[in-house]
Amino acid sequence: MRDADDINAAGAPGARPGARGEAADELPFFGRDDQFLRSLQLEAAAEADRLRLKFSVDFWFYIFLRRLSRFGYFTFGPITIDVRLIGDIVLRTAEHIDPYERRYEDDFVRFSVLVVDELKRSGQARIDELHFLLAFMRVEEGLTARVFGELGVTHDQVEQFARTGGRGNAPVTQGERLYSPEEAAEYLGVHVQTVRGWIRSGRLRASRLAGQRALRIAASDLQSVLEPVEPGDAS
Amino acid sequence: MPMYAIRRHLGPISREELDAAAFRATICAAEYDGLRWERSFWNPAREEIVCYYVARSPEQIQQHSRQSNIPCDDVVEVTEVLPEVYSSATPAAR
Repeated sequence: MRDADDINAAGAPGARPGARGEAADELPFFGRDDQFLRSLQLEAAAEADRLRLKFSVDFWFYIFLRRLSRFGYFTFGPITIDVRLIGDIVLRTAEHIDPYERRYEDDFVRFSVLVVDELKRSGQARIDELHFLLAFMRVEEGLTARVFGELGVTHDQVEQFARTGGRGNAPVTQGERLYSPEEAAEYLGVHVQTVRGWIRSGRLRASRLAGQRALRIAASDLQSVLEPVEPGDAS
Repeated sequence: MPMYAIRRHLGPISREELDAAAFRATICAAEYDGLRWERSFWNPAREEIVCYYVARSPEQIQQHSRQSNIPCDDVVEVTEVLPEVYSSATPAAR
């Protein structure tokens, strides 16, 4: 059995999601999908019924992370979580029920109060992924509390990261070369639509020139879409 | 599709808990084809809320309530009566 310290893997490959607010218009990740809640519910319900598991916060945490993960990792600012490991733990420890008995368990009822509180704190009109993430961070029991406790990342740090458009406090390095999407595509050897797709999905961080539609990508950010190849996996 | 009035005795409950119940009911509704929350009225004196839903059957309402972890004390089919219909028919009376 793996140690609990393994829950949060550092240095894992991951997206560079954007955030809500003005920056979210440029780097869509959180708060862009009106169907988010609906699709999350349907996915969670189908998976819970298939596995005959209780609808607990831990289970929802796993489904949430899985939905937003890339290559097995959920990454948002200072948070990187090995989602497969979370899944292993949830599937091993969750209580089993008859699907007909499935309902939001009492811990989820408490969690739902936190989600609504996050919505009110944000001043937004609709619940989005960031409300969920911040609410998960405030859960004081179960696997969720354990994960964020071991990560050592605070609710405020994540909120700050989201407010600053996913860049945290790190600006583009002065003098760093900036690429247009076309130049970035040529540099990486991919189609420009691929680059634009990465930007839309939050996989590739980009900025707009002030008051213009034009996108620019910092040279250092282009490295974020490059992932090391495992030996023997060069096909 | 019929409309139902659902009486839910919630007991002493904060505004946050009430909102959270509405949130659970809303996301849970994704699983129920045809189910639509129309409106609700909170009665603080009785500590109960009456919700109006369009649904396929009372059983669908009860199942949705149970999955949402929200009480469902009574479900009755109702018919909506709107004032606009009558006021527009008698403009002189206004």
